[in-house]
Parts: sequence; structure tokens; C-alpha cells
Amino acid sequence: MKTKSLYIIRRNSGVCLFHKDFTASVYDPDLISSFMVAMTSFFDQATSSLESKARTFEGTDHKILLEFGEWTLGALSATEDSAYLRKKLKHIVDRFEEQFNLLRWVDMDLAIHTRFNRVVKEEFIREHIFEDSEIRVKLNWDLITTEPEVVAFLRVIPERCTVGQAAKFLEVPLEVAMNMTAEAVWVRAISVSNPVKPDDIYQVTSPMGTSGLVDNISPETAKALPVLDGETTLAIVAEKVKTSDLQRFLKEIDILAKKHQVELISRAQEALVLNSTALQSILSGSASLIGHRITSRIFEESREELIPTFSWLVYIFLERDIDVEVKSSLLTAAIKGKMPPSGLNDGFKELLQSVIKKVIVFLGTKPTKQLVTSSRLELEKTFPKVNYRIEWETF
Amino acid sequence: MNKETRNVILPFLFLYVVFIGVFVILTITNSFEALELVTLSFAPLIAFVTGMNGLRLFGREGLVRNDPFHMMNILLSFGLLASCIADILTASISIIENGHVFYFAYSFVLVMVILFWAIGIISYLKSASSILGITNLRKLFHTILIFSSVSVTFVFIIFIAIPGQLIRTEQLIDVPLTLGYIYIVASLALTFWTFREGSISIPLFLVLAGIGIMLIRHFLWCFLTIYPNSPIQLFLAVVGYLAIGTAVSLMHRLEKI
Repeated sequence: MKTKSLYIIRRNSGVCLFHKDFTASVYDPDLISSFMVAMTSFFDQATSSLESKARTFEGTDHKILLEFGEWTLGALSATEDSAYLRKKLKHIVDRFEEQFNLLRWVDMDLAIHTRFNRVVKEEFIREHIFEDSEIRVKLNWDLITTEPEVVAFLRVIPERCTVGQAAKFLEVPLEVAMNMTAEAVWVRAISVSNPVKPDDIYQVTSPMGTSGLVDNISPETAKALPVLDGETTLAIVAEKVKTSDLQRFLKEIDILAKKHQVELISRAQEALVLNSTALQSILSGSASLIGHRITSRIFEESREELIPTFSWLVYIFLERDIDVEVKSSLLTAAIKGKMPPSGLNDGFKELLQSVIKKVIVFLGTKPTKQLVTSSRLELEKTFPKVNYRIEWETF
Repeated sequence: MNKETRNVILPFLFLYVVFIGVFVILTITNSFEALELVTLSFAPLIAFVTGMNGLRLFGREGLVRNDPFHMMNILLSFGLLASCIADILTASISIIENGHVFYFAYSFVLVMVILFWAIGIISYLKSASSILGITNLRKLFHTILIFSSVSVTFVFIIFIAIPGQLIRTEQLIDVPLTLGYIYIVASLALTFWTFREGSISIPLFLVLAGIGIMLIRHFLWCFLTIYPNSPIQLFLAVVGYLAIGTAVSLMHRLEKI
């Protein structure tokens, strides 16, 4: 989990109104809130700024991100600073101010923790729980929590299982099991990890230092490391290096990820890779049927139409022989998490819709639909679990 | 029909009108010698002009590319240029005394034409079938090929075997030619039917019509022994070349149709 703790602090007094430690307790909330307010005031005074300038306090292995509301300040302790986490933090601050607006004027007990827990849980925990997420029940969990719902849940499931298996044990729908898992994570009675999946995309954190990290891994996995380029799924990497045991390969990637030698690409980068692969597939198919020149024009026209709405599309272009290329500036923005994945998905969706609409004029509806279906099937093979993020049915 | 389509079609339409006009006038006035001269010179000329025009339009981006659509048009143009050679050969044969015995050489040149067209069109259809996921298309083509091979060979054998020899033995070279034509026409018909709703269907239909006319010419020669240098044969050739030439030009301006 990238997030460690969350604090919502009243700006004028430095009182911590809400806090949650997602892992172990890191700081005393009152201490940190006073420190935050003092530091942000100091920055404002030092820079003679009307608006608060402080954005991040950095440690060696974690950062404290700040987002300002009208009268509160949100602080999130996390392992990285990304646009995605900032967006979430800002959303939390806005929701808090909206829900507890009364606290701006009067100081009273509004049962903040009870009422606001659900929002934070939804924002920071629930999104990390999937069908194949692995649950590990903590030792003496019954001493950690007395929540009836969590107790009932943990009594039934085995000590180690996936969320999908838990749903089967409990004979409840998967969605319910996922919510129960989130509750148990919230009270820290279990830990959840997401196993490395074949369609995950990883990249080596330091290509220069791969020689030192191959000690405890098989030669096959060591051979695969240079192929972890942040664009290729693990299944394809395994195929390229002819790995004999995929499960062992995935486990070794997991070990390397824990050592921070390789890392899962950001959601934005994943969206960029997934969508550009879909675009590539559609354009290549179209190019074979109506020629590269016309396909290239279709792409250019569609892109030009959408640039006023999605300015970043200017960084997507075609090279010779219909090769979809993403300029490094956009890729860097995606890697650093400066682009929201939803924005990328929306832009690509519009672009694909526009391209397909134009291809229909040349080929007719039925062949174009067949072309889209072939591309979908091709992508399902490469990205079996994330392909659903492309809304194929809308094309 | 929009302005762009009109602009592409207009020069070809003009050539059609001029050629048909001249053909009709010379036929009505019984000027057979002039008619022969006009058709003998028009056919290779039109084949050359349309072929070169196709190469000019598509060759700009390079002759050989990993683009089935581009390659189909390049090979259609090369086919037209090879047809020009075949027609010049026909004209040369026509001025030789007892030259008709050399018509099998004409058929050999036609094999080259067929090869160009077949490679271009069938590669395009093959790529279309793999992209559109039409898996049974290949099976269908194998069936067509086997069926047409057997039936065409059978028909030729019968024509050779029956008394009076309607087909000469040296004409056996026409068996693969007939097969090639049938195979190309079948492929084109299928491609046209697949894309019938899209704008690409217009040039595809024109190519189908053009090569269909060539098939009719071939049958006239094989079964009715109407020589390839006869005015009616050359008239059909000009109509076919113009149809294919128009199609290649339209495919180059497809985005404007």
C-alpha cells in the first residue's frame, strides 16, 4: 500500500480533525498537525504568498503530500508523490469540508470518525481489493478487533486465501466479500496483497543496476529483466524469454518488486500502453484494408478534431507504416502520475470512436465491426484482465 | 456523386465517350480497316496510359511496401502495363502472314498479366480475411480453386476430344489462364460483397467489371476463336482497361469519395 496515514487539519488552529493510519501508527496526529500548520505558515510568511505554497515534505522513503481546502488542510503520508494520490487527497478534503462545514464556525462533536470513515475507506482501501487479492489473517486478530461484521468474516475464512475464495466460503456475492475485506483491512485485522499477474506491466527501476539484483533469481528471470520496459505485459515477457515456469517467474518478479528493483507501472502509464495498443491494432487493420496513406489521414483528422478537448493528443503520432508513437513528454507525465488515467482513457475512447466512425465510411459497418472484434480479441490475449477498461461496446 | 469523384472519373468518361463514338461511327460507315487500325492502336495505348497513371499515383510512396492495399493497386497497374505488351504483340501478329499460329505466345504474356492481378487481389483478400477474422474464407477459396480446376480442365478435354477439334491442342495454355481469371473474378466478387456498404466498394466493383470483361474476351477467344486482334475483342479490352484504370484512380482518392 502506497498510503501510510491521512490527516485532516484545521488550518487556523492546527487541530487534527480526522486521522487514519493505514498501516502502523507513524506519528502522533496532534504533533504532526501542529507541525504541518507551523511549517505551511512559515512557508507562506517566508515567500510573502497569499496562497499556501507548501506541497510536499520529503523523507528518504516516504513523502507527506499536502492539499489545501478553504479552511482545512489534508496531509497524506505516502511512498510516492503522484497526481493520482493528490487528486484523491483533494477529493477527501473537499468532501470533508462539505460534510462538516459547521465545524468551520463552531467547535462541536459531529462524530467525524464514524461518519467519515466510509469515504476514506472507499477512496484508499476498497480500490486495492480485487477478486484475486490475497488475504492474510493476522495472528490474534480477535484481540485487534471486536467489530461483529469483521469477526464473522474472519471466523469463516482460512488464514490465507484470495477474496474470490473468501466469497465462496461465505457463499456471498464477490462484491460483498470485497467490502468485508475492506472492513477487515480498515481495522488492520488482515493484510491484503495483490499477486503479480501475467498481464501486469513492470519496469526495471534502474536499468544500469540489473547486474546486482540477479543473485536470488533464476537465469530465465534475469534474462527477462531488460525486456521489462514498462510497455510489455509479463505474459509476453515470459513468452519472449521462453520461461518454462510462469508461476515461478511471477513469484520472482514479486520478490524483485518488494526489493524495489522492479516496479509496477502507474495506472496512467498502463492506460497509455493499453489504449495505444488498441489504437495500433485498429489502425493496422484499417491500413491493410484501405491503405496506410488513408489510414494515416483518418488518424490525423480524428486527432486534430479532438486536440481542443484533449490537448495531450498532440503527443500521439504515427510513424512510417502506421506505428503509433507516444512522445516522451507524455510518457514521462504518465510515469510520474501527472496525467489522470481517467483523462487518458476518455481521450483515447473519443479518438478510437472517431477513427472507427471514419473507417466505417470506407469499409461499411459490418467489416468495421469485425475489425473491432478482431482487435478486441487480440487485446484480450495480451491484456486478459485489464482489457475491459476499454469500452469496446461503445465503438 | 460528389465533386471529387466527378473529377477523377471525368477524364476516363471522356475517353470512353470518344472511343465508343469513334467505334460506332466507323462500324456504321463500314470502315473496317480504319476500325481495325483504331482499335489496334487504342487498346495498347489505353492500357499503357492507365497503367502508368496507376504507377504515378501509387508509386510515389514507393513501389514495394508492406501495405496490401497499396500493393494491390501497384500490381493492378503492372497488370495493365503487361496487357499493353500483350496487345502490342497482338498487333505485331496481325501484320504477319499466317500469324495466328503465334497466338499461344500472346497467351503466355497474358499469364504474366494474370499473375500480377492474382497476386495483388488475392493477397489483399487474404489480409482482409485474416484481419476481419473470416476463417472459412480460405476454405471457400480452396473449394472454388479445386472445383474450377476440375471443371475447366474437363470442358477443355471435351472440346479437344470431340470431332472437329473446336479447341487446338496448343491452346491448352489457356487452361491455367481461364482458371486464373475465374479465381480472380471470384475473389473480387467476394471482396466487393464483403465491403459492399463502404465507399471502397465502388472501385472494387469497377475492377470486378474490368477483369470480368477480360474473362469474357478470353472465352470469346477460347471457345468462339474470335482472335484477340479483332475489333470487338479490342473494343472490350479498351472498356476493361478504362474500368480498371478508373478504379485505381478512385482508390487513390478514396478519402474524397
